[in-house]
Amino acid sequence: MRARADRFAAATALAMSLSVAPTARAQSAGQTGQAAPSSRRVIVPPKLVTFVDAQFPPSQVAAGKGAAVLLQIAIDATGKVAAVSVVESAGPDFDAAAVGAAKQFTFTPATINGTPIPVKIAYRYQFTFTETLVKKQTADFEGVVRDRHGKQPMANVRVAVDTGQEALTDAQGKFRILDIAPGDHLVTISGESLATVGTTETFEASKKIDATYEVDRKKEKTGSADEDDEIVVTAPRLKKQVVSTEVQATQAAKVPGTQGDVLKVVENLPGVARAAAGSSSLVVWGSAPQDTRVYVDGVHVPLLYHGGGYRSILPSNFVKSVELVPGGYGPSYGRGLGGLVTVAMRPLDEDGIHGSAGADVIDASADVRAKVADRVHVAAGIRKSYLDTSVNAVTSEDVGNIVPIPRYWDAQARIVYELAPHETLEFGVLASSDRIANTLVNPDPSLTTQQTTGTDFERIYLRYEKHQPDSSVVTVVPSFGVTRTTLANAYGSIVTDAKNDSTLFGLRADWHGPLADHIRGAVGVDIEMVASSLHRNGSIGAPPREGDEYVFGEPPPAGVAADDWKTVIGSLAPYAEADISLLDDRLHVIPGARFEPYITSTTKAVPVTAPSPNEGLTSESAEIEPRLAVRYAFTPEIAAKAAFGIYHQAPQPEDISAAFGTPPLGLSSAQHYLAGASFQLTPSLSIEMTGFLSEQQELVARSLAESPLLAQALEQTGIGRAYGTQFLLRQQQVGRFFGWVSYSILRSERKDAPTLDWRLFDYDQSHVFTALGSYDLGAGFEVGLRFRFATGYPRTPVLGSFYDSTRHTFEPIFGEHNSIRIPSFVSLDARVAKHFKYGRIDGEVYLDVQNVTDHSNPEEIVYNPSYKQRGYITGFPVLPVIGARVTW
Amino acid sequence: MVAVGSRLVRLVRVARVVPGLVAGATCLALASACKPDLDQTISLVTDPSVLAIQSDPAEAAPTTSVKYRALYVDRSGTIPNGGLRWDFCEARKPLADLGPVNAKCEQTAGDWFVSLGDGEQVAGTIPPDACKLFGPDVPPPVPGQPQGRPVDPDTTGGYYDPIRILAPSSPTPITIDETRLSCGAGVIPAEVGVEYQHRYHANTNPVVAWLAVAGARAPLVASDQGTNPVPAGAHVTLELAWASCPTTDACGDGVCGPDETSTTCEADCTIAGGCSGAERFVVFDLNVQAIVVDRESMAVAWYTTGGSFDADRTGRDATDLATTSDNGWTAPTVAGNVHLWVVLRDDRGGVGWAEYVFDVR
Repeated sequence: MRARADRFAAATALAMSLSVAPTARAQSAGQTGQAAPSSRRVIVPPKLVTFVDAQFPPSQVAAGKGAAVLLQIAIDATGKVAAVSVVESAGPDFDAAAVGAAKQFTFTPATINGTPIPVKIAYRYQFTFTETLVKKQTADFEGVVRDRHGKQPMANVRVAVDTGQEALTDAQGKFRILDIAPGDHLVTISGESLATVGTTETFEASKKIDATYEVDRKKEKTGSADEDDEIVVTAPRLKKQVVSTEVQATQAAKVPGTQGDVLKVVENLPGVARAAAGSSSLVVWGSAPQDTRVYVDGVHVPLLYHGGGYRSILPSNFVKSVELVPGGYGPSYGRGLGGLVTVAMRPLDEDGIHGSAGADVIDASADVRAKVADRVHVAAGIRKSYLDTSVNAVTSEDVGNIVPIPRYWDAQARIVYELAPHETLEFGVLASSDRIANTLVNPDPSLTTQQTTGTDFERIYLRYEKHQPDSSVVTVVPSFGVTRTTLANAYGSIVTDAKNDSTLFGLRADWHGPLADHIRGAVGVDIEMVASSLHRNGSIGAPPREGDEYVFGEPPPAGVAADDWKTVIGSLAPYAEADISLLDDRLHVIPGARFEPYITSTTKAVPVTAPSPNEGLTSESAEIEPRLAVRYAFTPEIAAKAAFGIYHQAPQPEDISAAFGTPPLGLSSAQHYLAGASFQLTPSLSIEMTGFLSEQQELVARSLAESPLLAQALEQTGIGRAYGTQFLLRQQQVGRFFGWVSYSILRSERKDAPTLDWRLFDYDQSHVFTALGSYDLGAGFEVGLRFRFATGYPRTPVLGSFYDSTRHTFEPIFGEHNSIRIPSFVSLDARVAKHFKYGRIDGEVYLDVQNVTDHSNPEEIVYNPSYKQRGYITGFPVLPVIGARVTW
Repeated sequence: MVAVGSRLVRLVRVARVVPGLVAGATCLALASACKPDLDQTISLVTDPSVLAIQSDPAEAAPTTSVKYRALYVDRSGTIPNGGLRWDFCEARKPLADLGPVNAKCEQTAGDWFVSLGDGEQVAGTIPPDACKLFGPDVPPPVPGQPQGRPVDPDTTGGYYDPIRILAPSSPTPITIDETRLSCGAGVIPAEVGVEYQHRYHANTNPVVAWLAVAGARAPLVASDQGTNPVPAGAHVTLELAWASCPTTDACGDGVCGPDETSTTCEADCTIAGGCSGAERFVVFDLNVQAIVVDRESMAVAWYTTGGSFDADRTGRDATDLATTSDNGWTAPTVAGNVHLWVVLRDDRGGVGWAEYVFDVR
C-alpha cells in the first residue's frame, strides 16, 4: 500500500481580503482615462477562473498530514498573477508547491466602477492528505547499485529487466523502474565500469522490490577468472541451503508432464528418483520415502501427492514456490534422515475478487481469493477427482473393480489479517482425502484379492509473520491436525487391516535477521507432538517392508496376529544458526545446531491377552545435531560449497507395535556430507554439481532370527549409505525460454544386520536424467518438452520355484538380494498451451502428452504362477491429458 | 497368481482405440494393469509333478504317527513309485522370510532335515517339539535371552509342521507340505483356553464325493473303475461335489460340532467324528479376543493331461453353503485317453483327491 500525493481539497479561497494598491488604482485610473470618480465607488473583486492543483509534496506523504499556506497574490489589471508571496508558511515544501500552483492561476480582473485594476488578494492554499490505496497489477522495482568493496554508489549503471524496461542509476546509485509485469524476470546490470552481470528477481503484482546490488568494478583484465565480475544481491534472509532447488510457481506450472500442477515439478529436480507409475513416493538421494519431510508454510503434512501420484495436495494457485533440499539442510528442520520439501504459499494481498477454475480428465478444481475488508484477505480452494467416473464411462466392464483408481479430494481455506504494514496473521485450513480400492475376483475365493487404502489429513494453523525495518523476520506457526491412514487388504482369507489415527500438534517459531555487521542469524524452536492410536491385524509380512525378498503379487505369509496400541512421539527442538560473511563476502560460514530431546511412549511393551493389563513403555533421548555449511566464491562466477549435518528420526508409530514391531525402538540417525561447486556461465545460465554421502545407522529391519524374541519383530541393526553426484544445468527465464537439465548418479545400499553383505536399497536408481524446457511462442502459445531417463529399481531375481501343496501355490526361490533391475525408464513428454484473455479473464487450454513415443516402460517384474516365465508390467502408453483453466 | 491378466491387457487395448481424451484417462488408470501375456496355466500336466500331499490324520499332535501319501503324476497318469524322498524340515521360519517355510527347506540337504523315507507313501511321527518350533508354545530357549516369540497362527488358528518332498524327476523337484498341528490356541486367557480345548475338533481330510458332467444322469467313474467317453473338442461343465456338513450342531448327526463335547453329545464326540466336507470349527479371534465359530472354505485344483479348463482353480468361500464347484473343460481334439485329477482342499490343511480318465472319441 502506498500513499499518493493528493490534490487540493479546497478550490476556493477560504479567506480573501481585497486591498487595492495605490499604484494600481493610479494605473487603473490613468489607464482608463475616465472622468473623475464619483463619490460612490463600486468595487468588484477578482474571480478565480483557472485553478491549478499543487502537487502534494512527496516528502510530506509519510507524515500523512495536510497543511495550509496563506499567500498574497498580486493580480494585474488583466487578471493574470503578477506575483505570489507567502504570508503564513507551512514549511518550504508546502510553500513552494502552493506558490508554484498559484502563479498559474488566472482571474477575472478586479474593477472599480467597472474599470479593471491591479489588486492583491490573500489566498489560503489548503493541502488535504487523503490516503488512497492503489492496487497495481504490476510491480515496481527500485534500489541502489554500489561498489562491492567501497560500498560507494555507482552512477550511470544500466539496470535492465528482460521485459525491455531499464533505467540508469543516478549520482546516488539509485534506480527506479515502474510497472513491471509480475513473474520471474532476469535483471541485468551493466555499465562502462563493470561487465554485464545478472540475477533473477520475482516480481509480484502491487509489490515493490527494493534491491541493493553490490558489484565489482572492472579491473584491468589479465585473463584471470578471479577478476571477473560478480553481483551480490543483499538478501533479507539467511543464505539458502547449500544444495537446494527452488522453482517458482509460474515456471513450474509450465513443465511438461505435470499437467500444470506446480508441486509435481519436484519429480524433475536433481536428486529425486523417478516414482513408479501409479506411485506417490518421494525418494530423495536414496532415502526411504518416509525419511523426506514435507512442509507447507511451516506446517508438516504427511504427503505431497495424492494416491497414484497424479496430483499434488495443493492447487497451483495456492503455491508461490516449492523448494527441494535433498540433504545437508540447516538446523531449522529435522526429524528426517532424508530430504526436505518446503512449499511457500502465495501471499494474499490483492484487491477485488480473483480466482480460477479448471478441469481435465482426472479432476476439477476451483479457488477464489478476495479482499473482504480493509485489512482482511481470504482464499479458498477445492479439488475433486473423477477419474473413476471417466473410466467407467468408457469401459463396458467394471474396470474400477480390477485396477486401482485413485479417488481424492482436497480443500484449503486461508484468512489473512494485516495487523500492520509488514505484519500479518493468518488462519488456515488444509484438508486432503485419498482412497484407492480394487478387487481382483478369482473363481477360487482363496485367490481373490482386495485392496483398499486411504489417507486423510486435516490441518489448521495460525501463521504470524512480521518483517522488521532492520530486515529481520519473525515467524510463528502453531498448527494442529489429524491424520488417518487405513489399509485393508485381503488375499483370500488372509486379511490385513491397519489403521492409524494420529493427532498432531506443531509449533515453529523463528526469528532471523542481522546480528552484527557481516553476521546474520536465526534462532527458533520447532516442536512436534504426535499421538497415535493404531490397530493392525493380519500377516506380519503384509504389506512388505523395504528389504523384504518378495515378488509382486505374492501371497502374504499365512500367520496372522493382531494388536491395538497407542503411541506418543514428540520432540522440542530449539535451534540456532549464523551466517558469517567473511573475506569481503566471498566466504560464508554457516554454523548451526539443533538440540532435540525426544520422548517416545507406547501403551504396550509386550503382547498381552485380555484381561491382562497393558504394560506401557516410555523412552527418552536427547540429541544434539550440529550443522555446518560453507560457501566460498572464488570468482563472481565460480563458487564452492560444502555442508555437514547430523540428523535423527523417531521410529514410525507402526513399528513400535508389540506384535508387529518392537516397542523399544529408538532413533535412527544419519550424517550428510556434501560438497560441490557452481558456475555462472552467463547471467541466466548456471551449472551446479554436488557430491554427497549419507550414512545412516540404527535403521529398522526385520529380525532375522529363527527364534525372535517376544515383541522384537524388528531390530535396529540396519545401516545404510548413499553416495553420488548430482548436476543441474539451469537456464532461467531469458526472453521466452526457460529449462534445465538435471542428472543424478548415485548408489544407495543397506545392510540389515552386521552379518549380512551390503545390498542395494529397494529405491536405488543409479541414473536419473531429466531435460526439460518451455518456450513462449507468442500469441498466447507455449510449448514444452521433457525427456526423462531413469534406471529401474532393483529386484531380487527368482531362480526357480517349489510347490506348496498345502496352499496349491508355487513359491519363488530367490537369488541374490536385489541383484537385478527393472529395465530403464525412458519417456518423452510434451505440452502445448494456448492462453486467452477476455476482459479480466485469462484462459488456458493445454494438452499434456506423456510418453509421446509410446515407449513401453516396464514398471514391475511379474511371473507366471509357476515362476517359469517372467514379464513386466508396463506403465503409461501415450497419455494425452487435456485440460482448461480460467483465472480472473 | 492373477488369472485375469490377459483380460486386463485386452481392456487396455480397448482403451487405446477409444478416441479422445477420456481414453487417455483410461490408460492412465489402467497403467498398472498393463500386464504381460504370460502363461497362466498350471492345470496342464506335461511333466512329472507332485499335485498334492495328504496327511492322515489331517491334524496331529506332537509324537503322533502320521501317514503321508503323494499324488505324483505325469502325462501317463499316476506314477506309482516315482522315487519321492520325504523329510521333516525342522527349521523355524524367521519373520524376515515371507515364504511359507524357512528358506532352508528349499535346500537339498542340511541337518535340519529329518528323514521320513522314500516312496509314494511314508509314515512318521510328529516331532515332540513341533509346537515349540512351529506352534504357539514358547520356542526353545536361547541362553541369556528373554522369552521367545511364538509362531503366529493362520486365519483358522492353525500351526503347521513342514515336510519337504523331493521329486528328482520333476521340473519342480521340491514340494513343501505342512501338517496341521494340534497345539491348542496359544497364548490366550486360561479359561478361554480350556473352552477352546473342549470345543475345537481336529480337522478331517475332505473327500471328493463325486464328479459329474453337468446335466448327466450319473457321476463319472473313477479311474480305477473305467473310462468316461467324451467327444473330441467338446466343452463340458464338470461339477465336483463334497459332503454336506451340518451347519448347526445336532447330537446324533455323526459329526462332533463346535458346540458339542463328549459330555454333551457322547454319540458324536466319544470317538470324534469329522465331516469330509466344509466343517465348522472354533477359532480364537485375535481381534475380538474371543472364540468364534467359523467354517472351512473349499478349494478345488483341476488338472488334466489334455484339453483345457476354464479356470485352474475354483472353490467356495466359508460363507457359501454350496457343496459343489463347477468348471468348464474343453476336451482335446485328438482321440485318446486323457487323465484328469481333482484335488479338494479345505483351508485347515486337509486334502483329498480323485482321478478320472476320459476316453476322447
